[in-house]
Amino acid sequence: MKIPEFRWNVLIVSGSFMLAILFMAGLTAKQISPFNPLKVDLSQRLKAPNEEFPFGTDHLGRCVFSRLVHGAKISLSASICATALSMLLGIIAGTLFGLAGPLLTAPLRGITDVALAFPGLLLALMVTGVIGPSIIAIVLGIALAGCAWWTRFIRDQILNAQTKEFVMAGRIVGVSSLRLLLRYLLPQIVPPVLIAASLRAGWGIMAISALSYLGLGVQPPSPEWGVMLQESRLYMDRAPWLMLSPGIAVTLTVLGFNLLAEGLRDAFQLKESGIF
Amino acid sequence: MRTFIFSMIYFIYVLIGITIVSFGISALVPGDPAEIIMRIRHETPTQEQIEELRLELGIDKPLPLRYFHWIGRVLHGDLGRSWRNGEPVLNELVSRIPATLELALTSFCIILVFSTFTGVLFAVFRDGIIDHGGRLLSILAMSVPNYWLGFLLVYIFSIKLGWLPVMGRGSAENVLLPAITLGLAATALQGRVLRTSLIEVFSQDYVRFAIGKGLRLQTVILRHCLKNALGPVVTLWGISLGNFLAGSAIVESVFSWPGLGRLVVEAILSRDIPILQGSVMIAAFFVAAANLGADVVQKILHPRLHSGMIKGMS
Amino acid sequence: MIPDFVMEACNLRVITGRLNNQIVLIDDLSLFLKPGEILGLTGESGAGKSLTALAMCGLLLPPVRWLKGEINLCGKKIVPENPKAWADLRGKDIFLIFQSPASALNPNLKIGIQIREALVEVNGLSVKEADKMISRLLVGVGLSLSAGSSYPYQLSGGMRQRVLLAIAIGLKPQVVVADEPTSGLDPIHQAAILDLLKTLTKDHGSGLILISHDLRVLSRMADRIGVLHKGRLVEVNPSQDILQFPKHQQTMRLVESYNELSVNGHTFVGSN
Repeated sequence: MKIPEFRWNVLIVSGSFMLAILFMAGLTAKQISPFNPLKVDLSQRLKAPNEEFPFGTDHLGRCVFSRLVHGAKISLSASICATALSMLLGIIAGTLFGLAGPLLTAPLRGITDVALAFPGLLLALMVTGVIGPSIIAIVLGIALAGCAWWTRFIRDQILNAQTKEFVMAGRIVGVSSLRLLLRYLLPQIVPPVLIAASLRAGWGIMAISALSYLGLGVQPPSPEWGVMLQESRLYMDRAPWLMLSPGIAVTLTVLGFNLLAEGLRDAFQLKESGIF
Repeated sequence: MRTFIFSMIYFIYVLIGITIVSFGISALVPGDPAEIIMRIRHETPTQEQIEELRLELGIDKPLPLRYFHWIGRVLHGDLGRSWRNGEPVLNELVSRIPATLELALTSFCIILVFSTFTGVLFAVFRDGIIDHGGRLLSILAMSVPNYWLGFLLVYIFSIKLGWLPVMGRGSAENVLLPAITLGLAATALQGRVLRTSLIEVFSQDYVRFAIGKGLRLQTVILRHCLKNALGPVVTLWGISLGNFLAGSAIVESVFSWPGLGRLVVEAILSRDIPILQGSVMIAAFFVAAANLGADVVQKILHPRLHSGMIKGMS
Repeated sequence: MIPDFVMEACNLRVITGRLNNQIVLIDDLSLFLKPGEILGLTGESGAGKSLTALAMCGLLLPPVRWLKGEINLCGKKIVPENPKAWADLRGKDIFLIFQSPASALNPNLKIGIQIREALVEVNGLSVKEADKMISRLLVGVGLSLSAGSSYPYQLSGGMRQRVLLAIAIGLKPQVVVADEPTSGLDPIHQAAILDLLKTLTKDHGSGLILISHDLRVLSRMADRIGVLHKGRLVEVNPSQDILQFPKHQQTMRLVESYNELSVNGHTFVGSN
């Protein structure tokens, strides 16, 4: 019925700080990037970081910094879309399954177990395999991959929330079903859902850049981090900075989400279960 | 014994679901498969050829019928033929499995050893510098994308230091970098989970009773604490092993490792649906089998949880 | 020289909480125990009975900790600054029978293994010798041999308590501390368990600290009875004196309520 006491901590602050900077960079990409991320200038190719190009230039003479901030926009928006989509579907389906009662438990568990037998990235790969590589395909793929996970997760949370004594007490004194759901059950699952959302958004960032790296997501010449890493492969020896900056960008973004999640876990005093 | 049989029945149930999903791939592919095949083989199809192929593929029949037809052939070991080169899918899969198996098992051994070691270390020195530092390092390890980690390891150990081969499969040295790349994040996560679980066990009465009996510290930690704390970690180990056996598309691509994961990527890029279908199905089979394995190990480790009686009376 | 006391505790203080917010749970507690003697400890709920038991075996669970005082166990001195000294004494010299046998036995290990490990590691028996001894011990406490290959959840509460006793008998420690060994058992089991404890002190000459809220149990068993109140030992005297001439107010209250119960019940004061 009430959300446990919330305490700020250093993990939440540092995680949200990192994410805030990345979001700002993504939102103001057009304003803060010194060059057009797609502008090819072969006279400037493979330049090491200097005053004009803070992170150097790639094999086509494009400004790496400009490409990175535009990449932030793509990665963050795609990951958040995918996470929000799968979370929404998962919350609806999971709540229904959680309330459905024992009769439906076994078949529903079977369906989610079958879906979870396909590792997350593999499911996303299948979707792109069926409808062809594109950004829409990976958002859909990642959202779909998350659906089964979210459904299972929410269902477990709802089932767990129902075992609390004050919920049973509420049921006995005749609180209406809708009120029971909205005021007794859903508030209990808010903390774990926030943590899970943060972790899944981080996973989404990783999955998007991974699929793009494989050539199955965002297509070149779009300035996406995974694409940039793929392009830097051939120049690993001659221009190592090309491979460093996109990797650091992905790591920092995912780290921001993970720190936020860990901080929330501390703040709500939930223990590490490994499931989320 | 009854619980094991139940696990097996459930496993078969999941397997049937997996075949339905895998079959669904071919049913959902947009466009006419016959045309796609022709295009992949760089032939300009005539209408007759397409009609002939459609008949051969049985595309004109209703879906359920096609499923039963297909599953019948699958049970006889016939997974169809690659659209790209006409090779039987099964041969292609069998040629890729050893590489994935080698990588998966090496990686799995790494996570078993290191997650247990770090988990015990963090728990014994809980709330100290090792524990807090370990937590931050673990969060960092879980945040590094594994394809980039692979890059860095190759750059440092192969290109700059020249200690290990860059890529491909061959000697025992080749498997080291991909296995570390694949296992790092899972090791970090599982070490933390084991720590939490161990700390919970440390405060149990039976641990104090075991100390009170005068047992040596290592007996108490290994026999009484670790075994009982493994519950949540065993589940995660099962998930990791399944995912590794399913083949990591990313790590295998970074290291040019000729396994199942790369096969999936190649199949998608060339739109070779039978290969995709076959490799996805075998991957899901591995995941389900690993989960079954974890389930069984769980029941052996913790017999009480799975008997009818949940908690003894005091 | 035979020592007069197998155990002597002086001015024990047990606390909990952080540095700036300490709460004293047990204060200025001193007691002694002679070989073969049974010392009963009683008191109302929350008086610190179980904590005393744990403190005397060095098994307090942080943040609860032993702050001050000194324990002499079979001529060996233990102070709070050197908690590692316990490691050599537990099992061999002192053994605690936990309050709840259900949680004291590891749920995932067979009973036989839990008895055997103590015999092998503490008494230094070989596995073969230990297995032989386990059968003797199990029969001795009135269990069937098949109990050794059962898991704790397969046994009843009384049977689990007998398992703890079997371990105690097998270890033959100088001091046995039994924390509410009969709580939650029916009267028939209670009597059997108490008899076994008595045999333990007679046969091995072990000293027994018997903790119980039930004066009926203590009046039957104990040579002396100590009364705990709010973390302090307010009175220690021979059992008859405690029951007939209680001095401290808290003792009077306990004896009074015990007499009321006994008049309505079946036991009579001093009948044993």
